[in-house]
Amino acid sequence: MMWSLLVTTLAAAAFIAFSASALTGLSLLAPARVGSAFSPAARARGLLVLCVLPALTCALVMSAALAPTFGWIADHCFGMGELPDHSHPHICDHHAAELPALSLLALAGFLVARVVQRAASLAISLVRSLRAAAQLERLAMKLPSDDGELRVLPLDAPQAFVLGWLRPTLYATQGLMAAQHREHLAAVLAHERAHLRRADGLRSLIASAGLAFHLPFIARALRERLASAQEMAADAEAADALGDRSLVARALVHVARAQLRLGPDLPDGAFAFGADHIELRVRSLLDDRPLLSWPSSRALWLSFACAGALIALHASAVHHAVEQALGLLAH
Amino acid sequence: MPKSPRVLPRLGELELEVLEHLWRSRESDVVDTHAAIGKRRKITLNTVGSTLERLFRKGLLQREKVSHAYRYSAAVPRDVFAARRVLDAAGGVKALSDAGVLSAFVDLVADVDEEALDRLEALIAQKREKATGS
Repeated sequence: MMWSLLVTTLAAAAFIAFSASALTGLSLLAPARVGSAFSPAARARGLLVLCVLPALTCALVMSAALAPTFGWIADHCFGMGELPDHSHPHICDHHAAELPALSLLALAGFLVARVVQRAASLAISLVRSLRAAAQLERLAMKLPSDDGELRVLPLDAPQAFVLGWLRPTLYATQGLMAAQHREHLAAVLAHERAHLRRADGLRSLIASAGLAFHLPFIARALRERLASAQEMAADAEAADALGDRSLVARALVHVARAQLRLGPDLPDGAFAFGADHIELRVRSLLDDRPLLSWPSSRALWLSFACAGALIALHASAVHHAVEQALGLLAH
Repeated sequence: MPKSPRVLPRLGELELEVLEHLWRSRESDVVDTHAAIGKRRKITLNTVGSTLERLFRKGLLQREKVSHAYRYSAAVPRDVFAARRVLDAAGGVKALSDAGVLSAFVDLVADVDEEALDRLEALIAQKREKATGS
């Protein structure tokens, strides 16, 4: 009996999440010049919201839709006195005995599979990164730097990276510390420190969790855009810290060229972005147009709270609307 | 010095021990390696020889012919090998980067070319000139 309610509830959650994902996906069709009118930090903020939007929408709408089950509001079925109503599936325990349609079962299964797969992949990445961080800690040479210690790894390719979600650590390679890259070291480290300050690791973790509620192809596109926006935001912050945008742009080209000549000695090459990403990053750094920096985080949270209040106020209508939508899917 | 392999190959227990021996002794030939490892493990000179050959083909050793025999030495320093193994074991930098747990300063792809970088460098120089000129 409860299984039937659970499946119907999961199907409703999947329907809401994937509908929100499809609507989110429409925003990805906007021309590139729309996105480039915003500062990279604002873009990264907006993309993070888009990553978690289906999960948040799902949580809000499902809380309202399940309100009769939890006894927070009266069940509209009783109000109408027309039990049993078979015109659509129900997400309240008075109808738990009804068997869900096959289409709802498939929808619920797809959501569960996506969430389980995403959770497993996050857990594996977390374990791997923790293990790698512990081992790299032993291998790294610690050098004093402006803000604490710099961990230097015995690798030839000039590279720097931040590893970790919750306690991110900055690593540079011995190759980067070599004399020929010294001129660009400050820019590279400023970029990586910007990632630390912005807590990009934690933001990526939140985004990755939220992407489980997206349709797969939209999730992939959003993840790539968020990663790219985070890099540009770190570039911009590094440029502000150094007081010269071209310093970071030059460091990007210099390090890319050095890696190209030397051949990477980071395993499997560290090759998430294409050459066009380096070009985009350089062009973004050289772009001196005034950029929009809204919406602020506060405005985004406020919008979320308003949406939550609105949905809570209309819980009964939301409950009924979700059931009607499930009815369309089931028949 | 030859370029070390782009991706570290999988190594067996014997291959790792031979590599360890070469890091310790800096260089060695088949006979010396057999004396150090082969006798204890009760394996033949040929097995040690083919292990050294395999490591050479995998790009982890370099060799030089002295008289009639090759003298082998490690192509990758021990600490570099260790650091790369750690990242390999974590799934590689790309996997960590894709998972959002690692952000590298520059993430290249194989198809990035010098020409594109030249164009970008010229663009930066042009912008700098304009900035200093104004």
